[in-house]
Amino acid sequence: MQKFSQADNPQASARYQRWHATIRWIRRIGAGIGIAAMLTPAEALPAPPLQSQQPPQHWISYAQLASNQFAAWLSDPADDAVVRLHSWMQERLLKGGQGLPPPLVTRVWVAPSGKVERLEFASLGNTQADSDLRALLTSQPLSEPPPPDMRQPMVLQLSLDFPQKQ
Amino acid sequence: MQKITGDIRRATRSMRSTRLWRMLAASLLCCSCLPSQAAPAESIEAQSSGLFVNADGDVLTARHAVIGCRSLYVVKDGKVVTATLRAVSNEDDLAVLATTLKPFLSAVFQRAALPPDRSVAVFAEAYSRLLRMPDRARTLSNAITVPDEGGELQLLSGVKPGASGSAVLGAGGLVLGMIVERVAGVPSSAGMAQVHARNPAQAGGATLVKAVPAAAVKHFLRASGIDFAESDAAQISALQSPAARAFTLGVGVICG
Repeated sequence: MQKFSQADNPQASARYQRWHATIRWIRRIGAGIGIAAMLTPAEALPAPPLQSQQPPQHWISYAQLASNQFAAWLSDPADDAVVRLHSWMQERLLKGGQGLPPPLVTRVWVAPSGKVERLEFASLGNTQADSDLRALLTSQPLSEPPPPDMRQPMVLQLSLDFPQKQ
Repeated sequence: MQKITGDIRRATRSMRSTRLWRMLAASLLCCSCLPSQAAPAESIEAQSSGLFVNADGDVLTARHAVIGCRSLYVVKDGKVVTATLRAVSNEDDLAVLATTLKPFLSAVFQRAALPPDRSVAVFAEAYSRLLRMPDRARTLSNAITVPDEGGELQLLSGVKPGASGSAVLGAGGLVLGMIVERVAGVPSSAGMAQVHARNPAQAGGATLVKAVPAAAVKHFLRASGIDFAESDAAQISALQSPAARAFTLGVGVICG
């Protein structure tokens, strides 16, 4: 998988830092379940020269859109699936003695209609939680179709967390 | 000149008839809440438009659409939230509303000025019409700029009432300005003839539409201490629809 990490490239480090600043910003907006996103499209992408490792701006913009929209869906207290996910996390935290789930890497394929047509992620260890997460992220279309030239899947890292005080 | 706002009374009645409800905290551990007032908004018609200018949910709109309102509401994706005036321009027809909404994306203003000697294809439309636009994802432009108006931004556009506060988006998805008013399409000896207000029948067809250019908007936002982003990097590719991006950035504004 081609990662757009530029940590080893001092010239690109500033841009990488900006990308991560974006990710931190995305984390803060999660009002229900935190979500962070990183765009790492497609294994098939050949290794680009170091100076072009930054994804095109319109890919970044679309990844921000997708991750913010996911965050909104995952934060909707009126949605039964969100309530169940919260309950599962509380139970895991309070009764199971386990911490919050580790960041979850999801691979997202978006159809030209904006609908998430395929979603892959490692199991949360609970069938209902897996099902709820899948339903939440696939039941509605994204606000915009994806850029036609964007490599898919997008790889988004979700941090399932309780909201922070804002 | 005709301010491009819709029917205030109809929307206000609809707004009042819609029961606002208070969201509960999603969990015992939840420390922060979603917008405190929200209501289903499918039936609510916004009178004017606005656009998100930052991730805090600040909405840029037309001053004339919000001045004198006893209460203000912003409509987005089926939700209505209350809004408050955060800043009002004394120089241009601009205002900023503070909301509790969390936008999916916010505007990126174009840093460079538009070319003064040629027209540019753009997209601008009222939020209420964007909502119902069937081919939104395939629309690349619906207006063109009029070259060199002495630093002003004018479009030849078919926007309808309700478009005040709409973003003018270039092909790269950058915001070039914000719609404020319609002027007649045919110059007269007295300058631009006025379109009579409150007569939708006269609003059809393409006419000259005035927008506040990005430079003036940015000046106002800076002076008001309101965060915004600017760039010359395209935010969408040439094959993506500025109309879809306009919908992502846009909101409806209701004067109560």
